[in-house]
Amino acid sequence: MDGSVRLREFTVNQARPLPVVLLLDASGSMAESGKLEALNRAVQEMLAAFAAEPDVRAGIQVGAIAFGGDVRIHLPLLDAEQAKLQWQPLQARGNTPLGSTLTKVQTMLEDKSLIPSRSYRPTLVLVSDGQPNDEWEGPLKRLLESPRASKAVRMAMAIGSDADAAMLQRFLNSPEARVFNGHEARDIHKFFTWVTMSVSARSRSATPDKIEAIDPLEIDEISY
Amino acid sequence: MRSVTEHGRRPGVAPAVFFGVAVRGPDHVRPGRPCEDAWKGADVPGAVALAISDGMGSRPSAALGARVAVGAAIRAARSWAKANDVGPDWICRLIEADWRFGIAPEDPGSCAATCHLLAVSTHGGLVYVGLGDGMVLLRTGREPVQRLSARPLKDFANETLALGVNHRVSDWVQARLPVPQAPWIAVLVTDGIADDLRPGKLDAFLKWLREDIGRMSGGARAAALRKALREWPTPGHRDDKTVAVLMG
Repeated sequence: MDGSVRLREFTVNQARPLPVVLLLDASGSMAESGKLEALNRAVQEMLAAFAAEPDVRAGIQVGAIAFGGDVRIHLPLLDAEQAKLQWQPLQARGNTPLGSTLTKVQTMLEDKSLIPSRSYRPTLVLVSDGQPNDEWEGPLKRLLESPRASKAVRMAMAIGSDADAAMLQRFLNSPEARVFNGHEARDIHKFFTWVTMSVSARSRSATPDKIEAIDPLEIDEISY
Repeated sequence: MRSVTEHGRRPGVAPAVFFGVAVRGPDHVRPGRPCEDAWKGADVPGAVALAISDGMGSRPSAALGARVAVGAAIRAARSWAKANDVGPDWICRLIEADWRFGIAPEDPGSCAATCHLLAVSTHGGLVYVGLGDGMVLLRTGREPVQRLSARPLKDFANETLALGVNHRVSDWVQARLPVPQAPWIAVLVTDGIADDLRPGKLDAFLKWLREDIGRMSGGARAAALRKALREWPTPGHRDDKTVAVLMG
């Protein structure tokens, strides 16, 4: 039998995964001023862009954790094409349990059956418009000190003046990294365009763990 | 790129044949870069030894680091074969020092490379030492496949310990076993292969190497193995790939 045919029996048939985990604020306040509609639309567009990526060398996977009233896996970690098909718009409700969200994502990142060692470093994308209403300092410290979870690439967006930008900056845990501050619904679209560009660039790169430096504040000047 | 196949036969308690191939991955073929993996096998007095190395992709002299690593490993096996009461930790130290001199005057960080060595001596049994990514498998008779290399400690792809990267001698994985009873097969692979193998199919992988590839003549064996690695079926694969086999 031809060697390459035999090899298919022994080898995985998926490109090395490039996981993207969205931590999305779905608290009651997100229903105001069209923020949640803008977020839903932006995520949908991002998923469509990932699914349409031609000739990727890393397989983009996307999952979403929603926090609003409670913390729930809104979208399990799936290949981009499946994620696009299974995405359902978020519904706003309750308060902002961000501490529990960080604990949940840490558990997810440490699970090697979910994110195997052959994966490239995951990307965490945190979007919030409010102050956490639960204890978050301990969970954030554990996330940032976790040998595995702390290696994730982190991006954050604060929506409006009520968002806890200082907490989001601590989530980024890097003096060079900046929280993307948005004031209007269209800023959410801009932020997700930046996330899409960053992840897509990594998926096409010969070195997906080298993070492309794209300044989110210059996103208007980048044609995409 | 140079892919070499060698084989040899040893009389005595542990007759063994070895062969291997290192091929460039798509990331190195397209820009015309050299293969940054290396392998080497040798019959040395009293033992047969096999080594592989994977130069760290982002380092400018990774190919040199890998070539020097396999040479240093085989020389260390030669020393061990003469005095195999000496513990495997000394093999590691010998490789470290020989590699450091071998790459001079290059900076060690620019030559960073993993290293795995397996040697079988008629008197000293089987010894394995390994640093960094890659996988070393052993199957004796009908026993289950043993993984001599540690399970990857890495959290994500492209993270590894290596010569030229800060580490301690205790970071080397070391194993010492009795001379395996024939038929046996030991397989060393770099992470371009190890990361894409299905854990439940290692036995079938070894069987393919022994029964399909191992039974071919030298030239045909090299060509078949090289072709299979170049046509690696995992989507999006990019790394250089090395397989080295020792069987008795």
